[in-house]
Amino acid sequence: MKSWWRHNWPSAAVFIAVVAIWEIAVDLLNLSSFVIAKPSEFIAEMWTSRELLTEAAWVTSEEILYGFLISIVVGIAIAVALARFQWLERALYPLIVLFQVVPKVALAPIFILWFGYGLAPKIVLIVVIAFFPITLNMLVGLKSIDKELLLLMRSVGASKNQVCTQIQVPTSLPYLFAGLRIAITFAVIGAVVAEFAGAQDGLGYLIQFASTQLDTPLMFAALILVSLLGLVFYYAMSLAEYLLVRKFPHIALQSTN
Amino acid sequence: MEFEGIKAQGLEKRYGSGSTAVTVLEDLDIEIQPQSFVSLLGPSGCGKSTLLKILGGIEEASAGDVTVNGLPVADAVKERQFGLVPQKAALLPWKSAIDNIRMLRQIATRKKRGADIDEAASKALEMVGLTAAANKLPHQLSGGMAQRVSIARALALDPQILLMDEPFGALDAITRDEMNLRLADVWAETRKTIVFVTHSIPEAVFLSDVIHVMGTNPGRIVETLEIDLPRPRTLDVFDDPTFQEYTAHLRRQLEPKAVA
Repeated sequence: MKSWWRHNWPSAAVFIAVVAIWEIAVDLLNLSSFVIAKPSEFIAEMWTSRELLTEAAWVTSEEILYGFLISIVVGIAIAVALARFQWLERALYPLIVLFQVVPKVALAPIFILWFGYGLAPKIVLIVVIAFFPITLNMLVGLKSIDKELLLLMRSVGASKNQVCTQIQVPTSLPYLFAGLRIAITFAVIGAVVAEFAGAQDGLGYLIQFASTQLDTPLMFAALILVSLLGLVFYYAMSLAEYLLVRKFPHIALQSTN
Repeated sequence: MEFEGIKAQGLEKRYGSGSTAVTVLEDLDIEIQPQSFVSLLGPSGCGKSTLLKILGGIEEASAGDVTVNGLPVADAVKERQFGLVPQKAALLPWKSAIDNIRMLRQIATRKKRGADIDEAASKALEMVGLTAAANKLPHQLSGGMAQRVSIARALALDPQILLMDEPFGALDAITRDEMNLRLADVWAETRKTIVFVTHSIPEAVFLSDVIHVMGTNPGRIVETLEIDLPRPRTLDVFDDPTFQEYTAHLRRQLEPKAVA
């Protein structure tokens, strides 16, 4: 704890200073609480509306979790398939890249139309946004196999499946985790945007609802909570990575954590 | 069946087509006697690595054919007659030395686990003097040690032929001498047929029974030289007048010709 403090005190100090200036500046400039809430206000709001916020956070967490897990499966499956079958890559890769140009946030209303107001459209939007960085990074990783190693495999008549499972997939793990870090933040964005587009619950819905009620402290409280949620997911994934590193130590050697 | 060595006739290797085609090897014949130590010696870009890969069935020739033991080279690959030692050690960074050795044999034999795999791996590691480093990860090994693991990995396949593609090219001079001594020992002990690619003249003379000297543009064999030095050879052989005659002769052969 002591060494943690020694390392992190500058960022902690800046954080405290910003919160303090925020609090004082709102008072001094006499800004209305409709425009901007003071930290003390929305922290109080977080406490008074704790039941509402917890329930909303739970709904959003569920969306992020399912969406992210499905994104991992879809992202990895596409990457492995593209790396394994060249004809598939030639056929699909340009289309996947083309699809990335579509502002996927704009698809949210369509998914609401197709899948209703429940969990399904949120998950679909998250997957559509978050699979791409996973696929892209994993694909780069799968292709970054050492040429000499490939020759070695060929010299003993190894099959393409053997090369893929024994060498390419483990080699790609550091790349995969780099992709997952991007994807998890995308997943949080996807969940909030999907809730904006149409929902009956969740933190995104709460932000929008609070904005129609001009309840700025509640908006800020929900916003802070979404950010914290993103942070929790991010570190949960770092923990998963740490556990995997113990099995495949080369991840730690290459990734910049 | 008696092992008959490698025979290749009329080998040709081209890359690309039309006006941009590059001929790497042209009309090349080579014969490699069983249980001999044969070096392919030549300057960079003479196609010696390509020739090695063609002889080992890793690359296909554009024309000509290679037979191993009277069989087409592709069949020899299936019968696991080759062990490759590539330029870089190319060890899997997440596997220990012994597991790297085991894995290639597992893939080659299409077997998951087995006493024979463990035994072959430990024996091979012992042969290169690295038993103590069995459980080290590649990043804990020095360059020379990594190359020895790479050699052990090939030996553990128990192939007829070892294909070595400039395995010591990246090592410092002192480590390189040490590796040459070890390799000479391994060869004496196992009597594998070894095809060894190098651009170091003393290394080729020290190790080989036969040296095929290659020339460039296009790659071809310009001379085949038998090395008649007694074995076992120690580093003292470097001071032997016969050794020096060989190296002097080869140096003249490989000298860049003055442009007329």
